[in-house]
Amino acid sequence: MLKLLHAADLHLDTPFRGLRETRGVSAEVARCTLDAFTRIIDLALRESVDGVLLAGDLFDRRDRSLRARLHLGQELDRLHQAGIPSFLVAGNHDPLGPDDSRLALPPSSVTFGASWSEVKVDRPTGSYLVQGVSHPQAEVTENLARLFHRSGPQPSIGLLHCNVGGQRAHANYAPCTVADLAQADLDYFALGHVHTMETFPAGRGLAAYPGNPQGRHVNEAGPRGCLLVELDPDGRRPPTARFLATDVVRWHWLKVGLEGQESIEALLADVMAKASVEAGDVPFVHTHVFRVTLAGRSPLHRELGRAESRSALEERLVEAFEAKAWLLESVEVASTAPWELAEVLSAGGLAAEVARWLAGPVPDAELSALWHDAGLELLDERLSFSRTDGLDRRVALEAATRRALDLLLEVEP
Amino acid sequence: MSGRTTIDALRIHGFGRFSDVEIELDRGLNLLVGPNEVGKSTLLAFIRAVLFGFERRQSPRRYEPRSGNAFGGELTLKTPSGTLVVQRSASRRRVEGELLLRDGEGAPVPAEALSAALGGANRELFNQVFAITVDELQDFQALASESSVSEALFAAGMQGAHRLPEALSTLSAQASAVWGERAQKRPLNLALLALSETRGRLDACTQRPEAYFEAVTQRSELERELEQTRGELDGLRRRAQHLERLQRARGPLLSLASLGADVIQDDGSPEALPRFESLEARRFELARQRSTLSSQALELEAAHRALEASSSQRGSLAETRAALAAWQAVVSLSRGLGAREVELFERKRSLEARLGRLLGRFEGAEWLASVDVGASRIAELQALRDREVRVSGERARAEEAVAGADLERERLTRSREAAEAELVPGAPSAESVAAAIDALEQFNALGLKLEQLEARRLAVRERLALSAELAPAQAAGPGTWAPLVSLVGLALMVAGLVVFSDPTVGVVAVAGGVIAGLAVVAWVLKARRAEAQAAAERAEASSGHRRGWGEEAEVLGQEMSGLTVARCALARTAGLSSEAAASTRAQELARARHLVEHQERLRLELAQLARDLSVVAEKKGAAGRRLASATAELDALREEVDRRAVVAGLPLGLFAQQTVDLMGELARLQDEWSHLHRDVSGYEGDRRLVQAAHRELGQQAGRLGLDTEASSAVLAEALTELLAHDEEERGALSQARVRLEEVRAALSRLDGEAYEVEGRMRALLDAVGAPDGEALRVRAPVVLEARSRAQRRRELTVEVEAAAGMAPEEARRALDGEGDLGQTLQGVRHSVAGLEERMTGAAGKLGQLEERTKAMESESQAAALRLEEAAQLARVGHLAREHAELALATALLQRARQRFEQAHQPRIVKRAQGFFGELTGQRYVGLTVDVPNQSLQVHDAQGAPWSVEHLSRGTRELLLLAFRLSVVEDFGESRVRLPLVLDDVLVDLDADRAERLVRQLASFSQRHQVIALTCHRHVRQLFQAAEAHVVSLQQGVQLSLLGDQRG
Repeated sequence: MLKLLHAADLHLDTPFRGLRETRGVSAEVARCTLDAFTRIIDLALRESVDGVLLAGDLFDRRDRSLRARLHLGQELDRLHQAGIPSFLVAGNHDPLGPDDSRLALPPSSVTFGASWSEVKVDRPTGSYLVQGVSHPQAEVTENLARLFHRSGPQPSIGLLHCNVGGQRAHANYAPCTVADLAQADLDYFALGHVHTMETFPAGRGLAAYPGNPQGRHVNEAGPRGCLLVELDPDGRRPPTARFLATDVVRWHWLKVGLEGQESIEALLADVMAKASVEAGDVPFVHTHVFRVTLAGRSPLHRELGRAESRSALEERLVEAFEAKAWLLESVEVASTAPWELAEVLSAGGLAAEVARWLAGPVPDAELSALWHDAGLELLDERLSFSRTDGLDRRVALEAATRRALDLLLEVEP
Repeated sequence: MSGRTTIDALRIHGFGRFSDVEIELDRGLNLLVGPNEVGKSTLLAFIRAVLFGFERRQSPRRYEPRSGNAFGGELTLKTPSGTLVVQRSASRRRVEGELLLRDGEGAPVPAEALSAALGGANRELFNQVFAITVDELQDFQALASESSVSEALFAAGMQGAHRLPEALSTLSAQASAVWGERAQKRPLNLALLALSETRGRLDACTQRPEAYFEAVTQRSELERELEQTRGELDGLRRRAQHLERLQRARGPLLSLASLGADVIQDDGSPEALPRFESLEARRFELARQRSTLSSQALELEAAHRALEASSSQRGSLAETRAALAAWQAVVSLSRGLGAREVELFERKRSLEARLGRLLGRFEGAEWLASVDVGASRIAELQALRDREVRVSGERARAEEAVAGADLERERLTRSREAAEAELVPGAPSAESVAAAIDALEQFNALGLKLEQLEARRLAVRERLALSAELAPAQAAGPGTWAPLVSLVGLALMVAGLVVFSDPTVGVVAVAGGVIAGLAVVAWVLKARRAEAQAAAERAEASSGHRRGWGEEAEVLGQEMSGLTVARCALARTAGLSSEAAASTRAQELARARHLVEHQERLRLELAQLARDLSVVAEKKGAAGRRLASATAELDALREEVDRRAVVAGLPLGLFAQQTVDLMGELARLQDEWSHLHRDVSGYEGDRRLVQAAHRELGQQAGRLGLDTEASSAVLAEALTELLAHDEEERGALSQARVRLEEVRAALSRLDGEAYEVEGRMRALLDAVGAPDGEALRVRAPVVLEARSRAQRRRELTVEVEAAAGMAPEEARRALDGEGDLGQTLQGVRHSVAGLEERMTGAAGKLGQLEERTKAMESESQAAALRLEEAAQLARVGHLAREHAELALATALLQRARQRFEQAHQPRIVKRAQGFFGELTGQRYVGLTVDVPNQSLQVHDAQGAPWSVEHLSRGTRELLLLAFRLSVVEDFGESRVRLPLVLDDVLVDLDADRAERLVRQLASFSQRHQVIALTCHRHVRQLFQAAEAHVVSLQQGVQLSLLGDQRG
């Protein structure tokens, strides 16, 4: 069997997103994307694979990290020393650039250009063909999948950075469909771009996103890694892909119910217990990063409603996590005040008038008007100027409505 | 038109300072009057609490009474659907208390009835509009003074908006605390600034791939350039080196040329000359030595001859030496002879003295030699001594045995006398005492048996008598207890009544008593029935029994008389005088038996003592015999010892041991005597030796002509000196002989060497070809000069070769080809310096570039900055969301208010305008509301607009009241007409306005119940004038007495 290791979206040397404090972020944690890639190469050497496929977004060109580029070269050189070829395409974050040739990658490392091309690889276990195409610039709207096609009887692999099926969570670059992939009639499509592992049949072959090898924010929680692909040189058996975790820092989104929690102490103990279960005892993972969301109705709501209580709780959690060498991204309190929407609506008055924004869909025009009233367009402009993420208006509206109702309907102390 | 709800009565069980208070109210206008602190606010709180629940436990407005009265009370409401009594009482489980609703007839009513009676108004609305306290009004004023009064007024006119102004101000303050468009210090502004700074630092960061790649390119270019320059420089340096060497070779070349060639032959004369001169000096030295040695030899020969003559004169001295040696050998012996003689004499005297002491007489020491004290003789005496010791021991033991037997006999005799004294004559015999005791015991046993028989006979007789009595009577039993039982029951009941004074418990106790009495009576009846049945059965059996018992009594009587006769006989045997003396007699008999036993023991003891005495007498006799025998044997032994003493010449009458000791001492003295005797013989020998040596010494001195009359010591000394002198002369002679031989040998050696030197000188001159020494001395310097020039030529050749790296000839040719060497060299050196400078510059630059690229490769600042950037982005996002939520909450509250106002305000405002006009005597006739801007304006009669902030406090209060009246009426029209409670609202009004307000309230009270509270006398008068129902709340008075005090 031909063995290939498939990874993508390394985003080497890019920082975590969402951590508001850098306290507790050790140098080891800061270089976790680099270490995760090192683990991929370790796995390739351990498994004595016949090739390593890297499907784009290996680094963020915008970050201009030299460390990322050098690390990429060093690790590929390790493969070269072991006689293992590697194949690279550029994605939307690392499109082809004029300086690509200046950091000389090892001779056995093939970077596909902006035009489709194919290489034949002869290995003791058999021959195979790899075809691929890189993103010449960040925003590629062309359907690159249509360039792929079978050219020989050998096992054929396509290497592509694209958005299959227009997934919303990711920018719709190099858009294509499963049918496009199936049309190419290849044995395996090594894809990149979507950060969560996913495999799906494409014609007679298999297509897969390995996900990124290291989670970088709370929406990339859980194990992250690469795929060990096995191809039958004679094409008698279908290809298989096995997930191997490579992350060295693991993200978790811990949701803790507030129901029945009588005191902050008890809540704290509950959070720690749940976090310990969640973290488990995973080998190779150096540390864990948590976002803690506290939700549900509770007598603690009033206390947690106060900013100082929340920050005190957060501070204590940070301390408790630090003791375990974990990191706390943030604590969200999504507890619900002791009022029922239906009751508020039926009681009438001003509160009912406010509650209407929670009761049904709010038209865009009304939302825009409120946004305007609140003077938030200025903030939008300011954020845009600072190249930061924009605000989600609907999320903000719901939170604002709940806040307003909490204040209006607050029970007399 | 909707229904109306009024409060008809308040019944306070316990609330604040009120307890057991009942106040009845009119359905129209009411005034509750009381001085300050009487509890008006408490009444207001009571109405709120009964309708909506008590305040939380720690609240000062909970009004839980300190006294034991039940917390709470009730309100009697007249509602559109009838009377509703609302009762609120304290509850442990619920903070708000237990709510109990009843209708006019006291039947329970579901909880929804209260909400219906209040038209769905909640606590907040009721507190805010229908029943506002003075305190809350003050809060409202504070709020109004802080923010826009009109905003507060709007809040007063809007349901659910009590907190709107506060909420708006809180949200707005919080939102702007996070971010301000032009602010600088707010968290979001700061975070954005920090972000832009971090990005600036990131942009400036050296770790950029472009910079790195640029540096790497520069580095490789520089390396190439450096390599090229290095090549050029090497070429030039080589050329300069060549020229420099030629330049250095030029001087030696010129010197070489000036030296030219040489023709003088080197015959080695410079080396031959010093050797020739050295041989010449040697020859002279040898001649000088020879003359010295020759004179020495002559002197030695003369001395030798003189010594030989002296020696032969003295002849041999061997005998003299032997005599001197013999004397010296005995000289120390002769010195000690005197002392030894004295010492030997003393030892002899001491020996004789000790012998005298031993024997008790004087005997010369020589006597000892004649005495026989050999080992066999001593052994015989020792055997005698051992026998003596043994026999003496035996005699001592026999003496001891005799004395012991005497003592034993004395002790036994004393014991026998004591026992004989104790024996009593005429004691009773043992047999008679034993018989009397036996008889007495039997007598007592028979007495016991007689008593038992008597008791049985009595029992039988009693049974007979009893059975005769029992036959007719069987009536006793529980029947006789019945009155007692009844009494107990009654007592229980009375006790119940007394203990449980509480009537309910008392009744229970009485019932219990009755039930217990009935149970006892039933038991008694049952027991009586059972007893009657048993009696009939018993009567039938008793006649048979009585016959058996008569016969048994008779048999017993006969047995008893027989026993009495036997007992009398026994009494006689026992020596009893009467029945009563039996116990005394028993004691006497016991004592007699004890005495008899003691006498018996004494007799046995006496017999044993007699036997012991005879045994002791026998023992004494045997011991006396052993003593006599031992004494005889001892005497025999003494005689034997004396015999042996006579033989040895020892004193007589000694014990064997003493004789043995004496013999031992004599043996030691004998030993000492033999030692002394040996020492005396030694002394005699030594004395003879000394005398012989002295004689010989004298003879030798005479032979050598010395004074023979001098003492031996002087002679010995003179002879010793003479011998030493002779020895010296002989030594000198032999030395002179040896020295002479040596000098002669040296002379012959010198002659040989002088010959050899002469030969070598001749040979040297021949080798150089010089006829003589003088010719050689002239030739040698000439040859040396030629040699020096040849050496210089060789040195210069080497110098040229070392400098130019080529032979002088070649160098000369190269030099000829270079033209102006100095100028050429200078040009080349200049070029080298230029190139070197270029090299240094390039190498420095290369080093810098290498350092830079290395630093870039290992730099981690960029990563740290990117991490910081990400954290700042997260902070910015978080703060932006926070600000957006707060700002949006503010905006949507305002929008909600607008919508609410648009829906409700026109009606409320219009109605409020009417009230306000009337209350101000039509001074202000208009109210306009700018809903989008939430601004309220008041227009006076002339149409001039006034902003609310510019109204006086009293006018603002009237405006607020107008809004309240309007809202109450609006609520009443759509739902239920609820009572309006007013707390001291007329305080800030002038007399006209107050009067108008009371009129307005009187009019209002036709539609809504109005309950006003005041502590002001003039207010009371105004309300009384308006025919209000006035209730006076007197401080410290039980309010339950208060009744109707209408007008």
